[in-house]
Amino acid sequence: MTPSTPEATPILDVRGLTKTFGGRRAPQRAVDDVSFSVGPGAILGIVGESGSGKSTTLRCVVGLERADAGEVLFDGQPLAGADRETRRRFRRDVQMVFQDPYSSLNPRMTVEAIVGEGLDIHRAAATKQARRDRVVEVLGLVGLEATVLDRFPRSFSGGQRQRIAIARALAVGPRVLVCDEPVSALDVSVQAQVVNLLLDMQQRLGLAVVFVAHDLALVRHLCHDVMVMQHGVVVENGPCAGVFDDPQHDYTRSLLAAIPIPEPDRDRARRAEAASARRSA
Amino acid sequence: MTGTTTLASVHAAPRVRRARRRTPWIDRIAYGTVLVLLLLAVVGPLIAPHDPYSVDLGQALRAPSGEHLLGTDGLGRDVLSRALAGTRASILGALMAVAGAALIGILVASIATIGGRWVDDIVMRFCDITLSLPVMVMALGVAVALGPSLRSAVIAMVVAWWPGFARIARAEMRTVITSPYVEAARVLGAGRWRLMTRHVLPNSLDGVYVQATLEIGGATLIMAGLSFVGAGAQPPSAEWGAMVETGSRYLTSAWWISVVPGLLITLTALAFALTGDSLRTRNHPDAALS
Repeated sequence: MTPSTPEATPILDVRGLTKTFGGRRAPQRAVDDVSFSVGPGAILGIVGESGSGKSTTLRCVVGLERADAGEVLFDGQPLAGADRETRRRFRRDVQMVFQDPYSSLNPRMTVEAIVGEGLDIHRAAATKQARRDRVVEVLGLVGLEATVLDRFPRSFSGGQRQRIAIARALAVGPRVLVCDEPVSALDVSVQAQVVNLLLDMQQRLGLAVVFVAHDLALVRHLCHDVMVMQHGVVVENGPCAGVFDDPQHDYTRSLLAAIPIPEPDRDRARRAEAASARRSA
Repeated sequence: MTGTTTLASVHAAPRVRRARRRTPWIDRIAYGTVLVLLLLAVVGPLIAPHDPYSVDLGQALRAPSGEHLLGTDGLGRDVLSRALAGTRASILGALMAVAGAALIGILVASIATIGGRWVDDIVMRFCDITLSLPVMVMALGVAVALGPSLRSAVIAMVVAWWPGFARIARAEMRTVITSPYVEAARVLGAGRWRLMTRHVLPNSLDGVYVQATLEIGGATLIMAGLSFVGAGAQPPSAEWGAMVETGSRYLTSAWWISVVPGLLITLTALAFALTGDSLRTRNHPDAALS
């Protein structure tokens, strides 16, 4: 894995992002002054419990939610008040993979239409044949045959669907891939395949990836940098190795302690230790 | 030999129970009736044994016989021929009214869905107001204002009926527009037009189709009602509601003049209602009436 290069201009720079839900009477601050940046080709993991604001952060970045405050800089340029062309490029360069591949594919569109939609929107394919060629090419990247072109999402398994969703995101040739728990809705048996596919794509295409997850072992395996969120606030942020080996915040420690160790004896010993530490405290 | 048979039966795959239940017989009858009625609406006037408009006062008020299978009316016109010819006006009128109402409803719902909260509020409150008035009263008002005719009746029903469709369509669209596949299209940069035509509309109209089928029966009834009170089809045109009205003067002496079109109206309303309900049950097994 290539380490992130902090000296390069971040491709995605998020500053002071804040989002409140629920109106004036019962405001719920879902995201509170969150800042982070991702360098070209780097992988940032965002972790935290349910409701910690991970997904909302992503949704604000890609524009599915309107942030109350803060700004997103893409390639060093602020998006707010950007001209049409810059917005168009952002729409093309930043793509997203959703959590649930069962609801993220339009049930009435064929695989070709789903994967090719971005090409239509951005007028990236001059002819029907060029469009089909590109669709087949991306399907090949994610390990699907050209024979699936005319089939509908219902005839695919969860893992295959997620491959189609990844192909849809890759078809327009993005530079940033934003993934909202892309494997947590999948069977454990296919999670590893999809994660490895994402990693493979990241390396082959030099993508920057923002990866939201609550599986810390996965984040450690995948990411260069990690950002820990709790109640909408970033509690810890830094290179993966540093955060995992020497966590500074109690919340990070408790998250790490919750990762099961795949060796029963060591796992049991650690739990006992943690329990006695709690008793003496 | 016996051993082989036993083994085979042990290894035979257990028969998988079919997920969908068989269509109940009453639904089949309803489907069949709807088909026959639609067919009659197309070919009815062609297969009529007599000219539905030829007046023969010498043959007036004849009871059903070999010559006139369902008798004649007060002007000696063949009731069977008029009933067959009336299928077109009554059913096609109702179909057009429902189709028009559904179309406008879908259009308005689309505008409400993509127009933002203000547009949505205004449009839907307007629908609520319209819905609070009885369809018949409203349609009657519009039809009379336009001048009584079959066309006015159709227009009046469209005016009175579209808000119901708008409500159903909008409810479904609101769900679909927040679904992840629509969000995925938004992230790809799809504009409103593409979102609506490619993603929202194709996935939110099932309910409207079912409702439309369900309402054709009711529309036939209202249509006949409008003609009966004189706001719809005008004499001498062959239309069921108008026929019932003409015959009502002879109800005690020549019941067949009113009863034949009356039964047809009932049959149509029932058949379409049952068909619509059956389609709804197929689409959403939880929403079955019974």
